Amino acid sequence: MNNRWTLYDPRLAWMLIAPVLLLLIFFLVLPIAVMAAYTFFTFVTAGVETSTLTTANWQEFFTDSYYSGFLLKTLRVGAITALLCGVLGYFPAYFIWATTFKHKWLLLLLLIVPFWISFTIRTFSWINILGEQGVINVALLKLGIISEPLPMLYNEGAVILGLLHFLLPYMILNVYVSLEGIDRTLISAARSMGCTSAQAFREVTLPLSLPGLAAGLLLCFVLAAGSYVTPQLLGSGRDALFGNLIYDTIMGELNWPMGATLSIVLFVVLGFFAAIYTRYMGMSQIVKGLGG
Amino acid sequence: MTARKEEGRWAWRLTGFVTLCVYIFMFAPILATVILSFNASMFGGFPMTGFSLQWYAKLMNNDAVLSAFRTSLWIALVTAAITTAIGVVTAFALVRFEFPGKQALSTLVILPALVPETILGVGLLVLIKAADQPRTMLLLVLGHIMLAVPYVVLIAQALAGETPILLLDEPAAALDLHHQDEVIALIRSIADSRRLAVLFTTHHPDHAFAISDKVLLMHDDERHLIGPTVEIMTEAHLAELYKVPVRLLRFTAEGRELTAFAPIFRSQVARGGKPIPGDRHAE
Repeated sequence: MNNRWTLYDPRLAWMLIAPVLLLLIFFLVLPIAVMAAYTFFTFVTAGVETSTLTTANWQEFFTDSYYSGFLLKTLRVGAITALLCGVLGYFPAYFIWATTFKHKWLLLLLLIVPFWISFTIRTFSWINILGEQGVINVALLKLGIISEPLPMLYNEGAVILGLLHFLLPYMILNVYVSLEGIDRTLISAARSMGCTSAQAFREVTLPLSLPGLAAGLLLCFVLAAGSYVTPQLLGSGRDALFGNLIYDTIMGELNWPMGATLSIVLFVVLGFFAAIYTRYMGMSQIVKGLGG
Repeated sequence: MTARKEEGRWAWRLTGFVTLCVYIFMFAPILATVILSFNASMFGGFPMTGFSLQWYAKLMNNDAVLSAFRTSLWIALVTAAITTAIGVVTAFALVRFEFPGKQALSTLVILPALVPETILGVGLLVLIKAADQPRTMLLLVLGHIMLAVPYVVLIAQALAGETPILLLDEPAAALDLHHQDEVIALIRSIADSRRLAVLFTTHHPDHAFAISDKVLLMHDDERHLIGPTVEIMTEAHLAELYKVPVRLLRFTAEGRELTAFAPIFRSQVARGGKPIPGDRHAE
């Protein structure tokens, strides 16, 4: 038994990691584990449940099409948002990467600025654009193009717009980091061998940036499908997503076991997509994208 | 050819245009909110009825808002300080150490950024309810730290990331033999275990014999020699470099064929190569 400490001793590594590990165990792993246990508790009445084990919550979830409808709608909204983010986010990422503009750091900085502004405020700010007294309606009314304010808020479109607004910086940064990793001499080589710039993009740049695009898509999909604040602020009751359903079940009906069941469902479903992604792409791209 | 160039220019203009639109999309709502904060009217919305700072004045006199603001500021400061400390240490461990479970831990650390906040929030609420804990400030701060950990760890990891080349300037200078042995052993083990290219300068040819794969000899003028250690480190090359005749001594120790470097100092030669005074074995 050798007790002498060596340089880079694994024991030292565990000591360095201990604070974060303990925090994650108590605030991430344990809550999810307790939540999983709660799904088998019995709901008695609002705010009261007993620890008598039952599968009633799961039966309700699997038999009532209300829940599966909500889930499918949430996944659809998440997918639409992620795809729009991918299409709209690729252009700025490519532009920042390819531009010879001297102050391109400014463009990158502007991408990070939204992260400094509260997410709730950013979502609320759309009311000043789309609302009845928002910029668009007031301008159109003044110009005499419309006589009644257009109802642009509190529908699914507004929810997706709000989600796009919140998620685009994630997408642009992910694609940009991936583009930044491309060896630019490959593109010069393609051009020197007769590719047009469009062909060089299609054959070299685009395929090599796909990992970043895929990581961005996964991130946007997961965060959009898990969102709660955006549909609450920009949508009507009909545009509620799964996150709002969970909130209503717990805060409205005070049905904690069912709320826990729905949370675990969302966790497992989104985790399933993330697992498929990491199975084929690995974690490293997400790590790069999040870390900038 | 011109047509092709034209096509590329249009694609580039389209990219620039979409980029501009995306930036406007991202900042217009925020800008509108800032402008509206100066509105004289009570009802948030356009058209503005006049410029006014009255809302800022009201804000300064609203105790509830100010107290909430102070709470936010404290939580933010404490969270930032603690998260940075424990996150950087974790990133350091993840980058520099090898240990079982490292991969799983890297994934666990970024999970708070990937799991939707709804799920994290419900989980924490259920836990607090199950453990029958009051919702305290401490729990609030710890929850914030958990959410912030991934960002600190990821950024610190990128900064503390592996360098492919380690440059060392006379790492074993002015050390006694025992410590020279430790330092050069450490350099070799780092190079091997982390697959680093290590470049070090030294005045001790013996260190190069001990650990180098390749050697670069630099003369006073701009001449230099570079190549595998055994080819470059010859008596002729070293004598020319150091301007002192040298011998390379080959011998066996601990079952290995070893090489040592021995300078032929003029003073010792001038004394006729006699044994060193006091060396009783030689007498």
